[in-house]
Formats: sequence, C-alpha cells, structure tokens
Amino acid sequence: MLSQCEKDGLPNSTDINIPAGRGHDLLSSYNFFEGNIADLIPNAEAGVLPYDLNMSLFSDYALKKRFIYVPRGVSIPFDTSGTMNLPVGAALIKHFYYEDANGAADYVETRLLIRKNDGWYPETYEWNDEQTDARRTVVGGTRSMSVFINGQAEVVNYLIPNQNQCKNCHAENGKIAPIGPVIQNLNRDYEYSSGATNQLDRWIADGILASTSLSNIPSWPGMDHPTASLNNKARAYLAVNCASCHRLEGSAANSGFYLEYYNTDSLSLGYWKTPVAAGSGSGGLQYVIKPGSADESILLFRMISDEVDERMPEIGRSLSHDAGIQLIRDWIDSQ
Amino acid sequence: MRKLFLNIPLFLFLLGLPVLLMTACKKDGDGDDGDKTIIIAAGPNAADDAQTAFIEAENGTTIMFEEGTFSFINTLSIDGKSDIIIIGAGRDLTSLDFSAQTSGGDGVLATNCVNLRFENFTIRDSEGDALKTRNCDRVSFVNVATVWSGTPSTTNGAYGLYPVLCSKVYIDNCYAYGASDAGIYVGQSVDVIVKNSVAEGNVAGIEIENTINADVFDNEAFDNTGGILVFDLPGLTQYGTHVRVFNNNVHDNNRTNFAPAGNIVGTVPSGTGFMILSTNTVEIFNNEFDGNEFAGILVASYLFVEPNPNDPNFQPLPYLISIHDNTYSMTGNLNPVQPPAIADIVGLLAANSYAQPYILLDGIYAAPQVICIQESNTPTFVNVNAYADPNGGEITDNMTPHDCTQPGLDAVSFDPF
Repeated sequence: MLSQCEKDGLPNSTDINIPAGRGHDLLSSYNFFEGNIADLIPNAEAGVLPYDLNMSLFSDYALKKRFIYVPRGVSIPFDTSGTMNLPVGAALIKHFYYEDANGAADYVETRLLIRKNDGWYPETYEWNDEQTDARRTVVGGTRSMSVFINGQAEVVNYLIPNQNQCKNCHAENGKIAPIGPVIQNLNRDYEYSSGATNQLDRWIADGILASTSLSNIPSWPGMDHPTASLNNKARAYLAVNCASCHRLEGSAANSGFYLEYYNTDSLSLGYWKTPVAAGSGSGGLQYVIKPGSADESILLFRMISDEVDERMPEIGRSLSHDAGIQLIRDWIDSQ
Repeated sequence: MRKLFLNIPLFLFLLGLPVLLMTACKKDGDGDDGDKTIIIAAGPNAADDAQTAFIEAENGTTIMFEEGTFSFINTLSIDGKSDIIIIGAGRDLTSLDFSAQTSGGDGVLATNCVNLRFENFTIRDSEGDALKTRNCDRVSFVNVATVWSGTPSTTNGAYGLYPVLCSKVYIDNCYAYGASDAGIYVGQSVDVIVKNSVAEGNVAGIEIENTINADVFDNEAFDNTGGILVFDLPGLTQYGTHVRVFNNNVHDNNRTNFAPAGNIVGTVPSGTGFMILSTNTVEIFNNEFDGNEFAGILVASYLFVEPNPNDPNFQPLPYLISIHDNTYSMTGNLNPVQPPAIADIVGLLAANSYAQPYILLDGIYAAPQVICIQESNTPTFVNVNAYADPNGGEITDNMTPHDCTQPGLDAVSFDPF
C-alpha cells in the first residue's frame, strides 16, 4: 500500500539513488551495495567506502559495519574541531547485526543519515527474516536477539529506534547531525580489498576529504590501544558514548554535564558535581564523579544499571558494557 | 523465524487506520493549511499509531486520543513540530499508561517544538519523567495529570510535568501525584505561568528551578514533602530570577522525604510549605501556609547542603526576597523522619527551646535586608544563623532585621498557546 505513494528507483542502476522526499521502502533501492545486498559489498564504482572507528559506541554488543558515500566532485573540509561537515548528497550507512555461535551474521537493522539541501535526514531499515532486504520503518520496534558475551548466550531486547529517537543522540542545536565521523576517530588503518591503508589517506586520495597541511593528525585511542594513556582512552570512550547528548549543543544540555573529549572544565566534567534531575539515576550517590572513588560516582552507577530510568545511555543500551565499565572505573579511581 | 517480533509495527501499520495512511501519503505542501486531525483509537496497535502520528504529523495538526487506556512500552516522542495540539477526551477518560515501559527515559517527550499544547489526559506510571518538554517555545499543559499509582515511592519517576529549556510555559488546571522529585517542575526556562493546579503526594509539589520570570498562583499543594520550591543550582545553562508565588493554598506538606538520595530535593525538610534555595528576586505573597509542620517558609542557601558549589558564576546567597501578606498556621506535629542536615536543625531548635516556626532562615546571606518580611500578623520566626557557624551560631527569633520592603515584581505576561 505504501508503494502507491511513491515509486522506487530503478533496481539495476549502479548509480546511487537517493530520493528527494522520504526514503525508499527498501534498502536495496539506494544501490549502496552491489550484488546480493546481504553480502554488503559496497558500490565502490559509485564511491561507497567502508570505514571503521577507533572508539565505537556500545549498542548492546551489536556488531556494526559502516559505510560512507560522498558524491564525486565534492569533498569534506578537513576540520578537527568537531564532527565532519559532509556535503549535500552524502550518506552515512550503519549496519547493525549479531553473530550466532557459529559466527553466522544475523542482521537487525541498517540506519542511514542522508545529507540533503536543508540538513540531515535519518532513515531506518529493518531486515526481513529471510535476510534478503531491509524495509523502511518509522516507528522502529523491539526485537529479541541472541548475543554471545564471553561465550555465554544472552537474550537482548534490541531497540530499533523510531525517527525521533535517532535525533535523541544525533542532535546538534536541535537539528539532526552525524556523530561518528570525527577526524580523530577515523584516523586509523582499514583493511581495504586493495590492502591496509590509513582511512584518512584513502579518503584524501579518493578526493572525498580535503587534504591537510597538518603533519601530526590527532587521533583518539580505541579500547584496546596498546600505549594510549588511561585518561585518553577514558575520555575517548566518554566522548563517543556520552557526548553526543552530554554537551551544550546536545539533548542533555540541561544536565550541565558535558563530556566532549576536549572539555577541561572540572564541574561540567562531573567532578564533585551534584545531580540535577537524575531521580533514581543518582543511585543514592552525591556526585557525578567523586575523584578516586568510582563506586561513589553516579557516572559509573548509571553505566552499570540496567533499570530503564537509571541506565545511560538512555536509549540503545539494555545490557551493560563490561569493558567500558572497567575502563571508567579505573579512570575515576585513578583521579 | 529466527527472530521473535515483540511487536510488529510495519504489518500492523499497513493494516492501520485509513486516516494514518492518508497522512503517510501526503506530501509537503499538499492539501489545505486548515485544521488537520489525527485520531488515535485505543487498541493493540494504538502505541505505534500514536508514535507514527507524532512523527509524521504535519505542522498544525491536532492529535486526538479517544477515550480509553493506551499502553506504551517505549517513550512516546515528538520533535521539531509547530502548532501541534495533543488532546485526550478528558483527564479521567484518556490514560497513557507506561507501566509496561521497557525503554526510553521518559513517558512522553517533546523536543524542539514551537507552539505545542497538551490537554485533557493522564499519564500513568512512566519509568522516568512523565511528560518532558525540552527546547520548546510556547508550550502549554492544560488539564493534564501525571500519576504514579499507589503509595508514593522512591522508585517512581522524578518529575511529572517537566518543561526544561523552554519558553512561554503555561501550566493550567493540571494535577501531579507521586513524583519522587517534583510533581510540576519547570527548569532552566523563561516566562512561565503555573496556575490552578494541584500537586499532591510528591517530594516537591511545584518546583521552579533556574528559571527566569515565573508566576505561580492559585495552586493547591498538599501532602508533599515540600509544597512549592524555588531553587537555583550551580553548573547549569542559566540562573533563575524574578519569580512570584501568590494566592496559593499550601497545606499539610508533611510527607516523609522519599527522593532518591543524592538529589538536591532529598534535602527538603518534611513539613515545608515554601522553600527558597540560593535564588534571587522572589516575591511570596497572599499565600496560605497551614499545617506545614517544619516551616511555612524556609529560606536557605545551597551552601547549607554543599559547601563548595564549584561554579564561579553561581551566586549561592539568596537576595531580593520579599515575603508579605501570607497567613500561617500549625496544628500538628513535626514528622520525626527528616534528612540528616535537617535533623540537626530540628535538634538545634529544640535545644534552644524554639518551636518549629512559620518562617525559618538558615542565615546564609550577605545582609539581613536581602530578605524582607512584612506580615500583618507577626509570624513565629527563627534564624539559625548557619553562616556564622555551621554547627549553630547565634540562633535567634528576632525578625526585626528583616523589617524592610521591596518593590513588587511585574506580572509575567505572554500569550500562551
């Protein structure tokens, strides 16, 4: 019935097909991928590139594959001061899946952020059970998925966000905005089919990222970085997992608790900060961060809790992230 | 099927209401700009119908919930819309029920909207806050109730009505019960009217926090821990000023404080009619404070609960406080269960043979005449003078230093939506 409203694009074209209005009904209609869409082979000819991040957002142990599309002939300014400013026509593609005990992929959803003339638009596609395509959803929903954590099978009620919930995190001054593509977080190697190359070098070579005169491009460490300091790892974790909301331009501006990587103001970083509107999210504790005492810090309590009204992030997490908790525990205890 | 669908939004959506399908097919600019209404009927697919309507409604739409109970497992949210009315069949007839909620921090959430009105329904048992509006301009709540069922509990959500970072906030004829922080809470907002409303069984009945220009009048607050609060806290996006609290009936607020520890409202004494914390330019007049057994009015500083606010721009000392033409009575007993710092005050009063007074000051201010008191019948009064000595300095019942007047504040005026 919905297809009466709008015709989808030509299915066999190799050109990227982004509609002017609302998104296609099917993910395959965009031509972001070649061949069998479930293989997620990017449409390289059109310029779709896979990428990865140093530090990633924890989403109930979902695995992710990320792709970027930038139209030929335009490039992203090289700017390390915030999230990249992608040109009109660009798209970010993020694929969420789990693996079963045998390593077989079980696709859940694929999210798009599409840059149009008047800003960013989110679209969410929910994979069918046959895993042959994914269909657009506005209201999202909950799916029960199996996840293996340290070899143990657990069930997660995975939340596919509705369009408004996309913006809960993807917000900057009330407008939809990407979170992930930050130079510092992209500054790493990627195993392309042609071999391993630094992603930024590749993007510059492909012409989708402007070149830079910076001789030393900053980078954020990942969880397993062998030499990065505890502080830098913790701050990168907090920046990626919390700061999309917890910043002055984000959804949690009212909290006065801001976790951008470069914030150095101790009060807004949570040191000796009393809660404002936490409710039971305070966990009975006095301070957001009590230096030297992770167990007395609300920040850690809310990472550990799985109660709906206590846990943080507010959406996208129902399980707790053991490695992240350990990192932030060590960091607070080291203060 | 390898996956279990807990709900089946798409399939049911395709089978859904004709009116919704028409909306889905509408393109921008289609049709007239006149009244548009989407009706949500109770039923198994109502939650998805409602969320779809909240996402796809064009500006200028009225979203109408019919009579009945609507059950939600996720936050119901609206974002970036203009001129939207969300209306039920009546506070006792339309209930948005979040008792089975499994995700989302709020019951209903509205963000980045301009001209938004909620009217004629009740929100029940949300996990977190019941109805939060953030970054909205001209938002009205009319005849809306927020309720947590049963005996008020620490595990209830923090706030009932919760506009924050909003402007032109209009709350009229609302009801709030059971919030573990504040029933009606307005935070970090500008231009606010709260009137004709009832707050019962919350920790704080009505709270105005870090808010500029608010009028709170013709309300009833009873059986809360504290009836009406005007607070300023450090480290937020703005500081508050210019609040008038008048013609309110604030009585019998003696409920044991059940806020989760750590929250500032957890320090509110059980038995408080009206409380000021670290704010300025507040006029409290023509209120009735009856049966609030700790104090009718309490003026305190944030420094009393947290000696280091850690915010150089924060002014923790209250000033330009004007208290006049209120009436007071106390007939019952003080609730013996008090927050720790408050128990110290109670003990101090008892040790000095003072009864709980109508007006109590913690004494943490720059000079006595920042707080002016002009009551026709001289109220009982105690200043515990905690600034001089946190352990209890020169406690006094001499109100004379506060015999001064301040100019009345202007009414808050705006055209509500």
